[in-house]
Amino acid sequence: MSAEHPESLGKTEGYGAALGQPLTLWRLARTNLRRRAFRTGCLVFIVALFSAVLFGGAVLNKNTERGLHSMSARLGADLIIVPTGYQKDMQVALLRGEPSSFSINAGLTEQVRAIHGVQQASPQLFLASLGAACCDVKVQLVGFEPETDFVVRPWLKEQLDRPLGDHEIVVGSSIFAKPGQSIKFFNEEFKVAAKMDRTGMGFDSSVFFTLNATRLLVRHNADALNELRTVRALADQPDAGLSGAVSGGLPSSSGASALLGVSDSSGVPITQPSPAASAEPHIILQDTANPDAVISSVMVKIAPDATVDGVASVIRMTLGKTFGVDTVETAGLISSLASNLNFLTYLLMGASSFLWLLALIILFLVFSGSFNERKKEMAVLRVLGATKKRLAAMLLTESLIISVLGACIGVVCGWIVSFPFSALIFQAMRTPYLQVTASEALLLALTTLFLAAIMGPIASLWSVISISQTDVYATLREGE
Amino acid sequence: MRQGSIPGLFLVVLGIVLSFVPHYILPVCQHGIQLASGDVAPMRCFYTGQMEMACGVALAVLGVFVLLARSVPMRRGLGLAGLLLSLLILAVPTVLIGVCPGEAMPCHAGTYPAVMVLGVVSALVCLLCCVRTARG
Repeated sequence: MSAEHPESLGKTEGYGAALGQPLTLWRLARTNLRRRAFRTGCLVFIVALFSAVLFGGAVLNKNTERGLHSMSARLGADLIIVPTGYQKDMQVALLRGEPSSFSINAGLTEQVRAIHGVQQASPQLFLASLGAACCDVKVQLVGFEPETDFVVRPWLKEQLDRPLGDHEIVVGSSIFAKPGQSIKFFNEEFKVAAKMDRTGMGFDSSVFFTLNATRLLVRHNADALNELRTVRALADQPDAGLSGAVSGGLPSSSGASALLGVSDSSGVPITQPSPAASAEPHIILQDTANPDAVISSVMVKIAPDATVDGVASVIRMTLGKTFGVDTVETAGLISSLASNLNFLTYLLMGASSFLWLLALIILFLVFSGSFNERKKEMAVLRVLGATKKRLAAMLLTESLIISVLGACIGVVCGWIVSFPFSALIFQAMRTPYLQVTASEALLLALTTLFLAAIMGPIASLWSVISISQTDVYATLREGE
Repeated sequence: MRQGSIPGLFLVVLGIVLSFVPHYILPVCQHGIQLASGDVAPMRCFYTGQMEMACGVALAVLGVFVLLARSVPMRRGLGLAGLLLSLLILAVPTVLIGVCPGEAMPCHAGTYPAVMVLGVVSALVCLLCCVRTARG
């Protein structure tokens, strides 16, 4: 801009505005930026892009890290024994809460307890609730033995200070139910005894029962399934006259309607079943003939004087073939997730550093080019009495405005992606994901703002130094 | 560039995006509840989606009017109407109709935050439009 001509201060400010208001450093810098709106917009966009990537990436990284720490702290078992071939299902159930159901002989628990090096062993029974269609809330039903359990109870110290009853349940933070409320599972009513804090892993969408209650559910499901099969078989017979009873693939019998889903005591559905789930009843356990004889996994705590690897190999050798089981080492699971997290951290750090450098170079080139264009303007300002210090301050203010504006826009954009869409990100990440606290988020935002805000002044340093080396007279006579 | 161009353009883009969100970009739950009678009833998020789609179209049309409006009072009036429409956009998934309660459900995890963000942004744009025109 040409400061000697007040009409050039900006189209919106105008001559009168420039004359009526004092020409402060801030006003001068702001007017310069407004007059080059497109250039300013592009520079703000570059800084905003860097800030958004840095803030969004940092939040993503922190959330994954918190999720992993939560998982590491909550997985009290050193070893999990599952049926051979179901290690992946177990991991998926733990990490994402995707319903799985698998079974092994219940006698396994006693055999495991007898192995040297095993400090504690507790069985769990996993039941899959409604199917994986789009609109279901996927619920993993987990049965545990309150007398021997050392995994679930420690999480509920604050919420539940007594043993869980057979008609009581503990729900994960994502389950839409409050303590004290009654919920029906497969036509059996349960009272919500406690709701767990958010864990960032599969437990958030799980419901915990006692082992006895879980077996009761299996029996209910088996009865309903048999009833439905009978009705269907009759309906398939042309003379049976039962076609009306199987309207939409569902009989109106109470047992089969229990398969529709989970509802509260007034019958309002807590989970919404899909047509797919209701048309084909969900088999919640492979072996429903004798639910008392089956469990899904055994959680094992290793004694201090034994090694996890050693005990795991003994279990595989002695019980592997007899019971058809394998082991999952939780430390291995966590370390494999941690290595994924490290990769993510390096990737985000690399991308952020690259963007920071790129933005710095672009800002430097633009500021240098702009300074060369404005040499005469600077010389005129010097002639009018502006000191070198004042001109340097004007350039620094311009660059600071650009970078602070870009930083703020970037942090807001990063926040919009990271926080409101956290549930969507959790589903896409497929790893433990626990939202950062407000103070941590604020710290990340301030760090991003600082790193982005210093970009402008750093990039314009060369232009500022050049001012002191410019000869005013020679510059004004240039081109004559 | 005229004073109403930028807010008008913003509103047109926001309106178009909003009208595509509930059924195309971040769709609401696709299946309904199967009743004991065998009929399938849509869940409430379906109606929220329909309503938001209509609000999106209305917002885009309002943006076109802001672009075309020549007088300051008209732009102010349109800004105010846009602000009310934005409040309606925010009220539909929160107070008026709602979305499915399950946090993992597509309408709750995707559509709901997207609609809220678009609603807040459009409210801010309309507020800015009102403030700028009030200043003259």
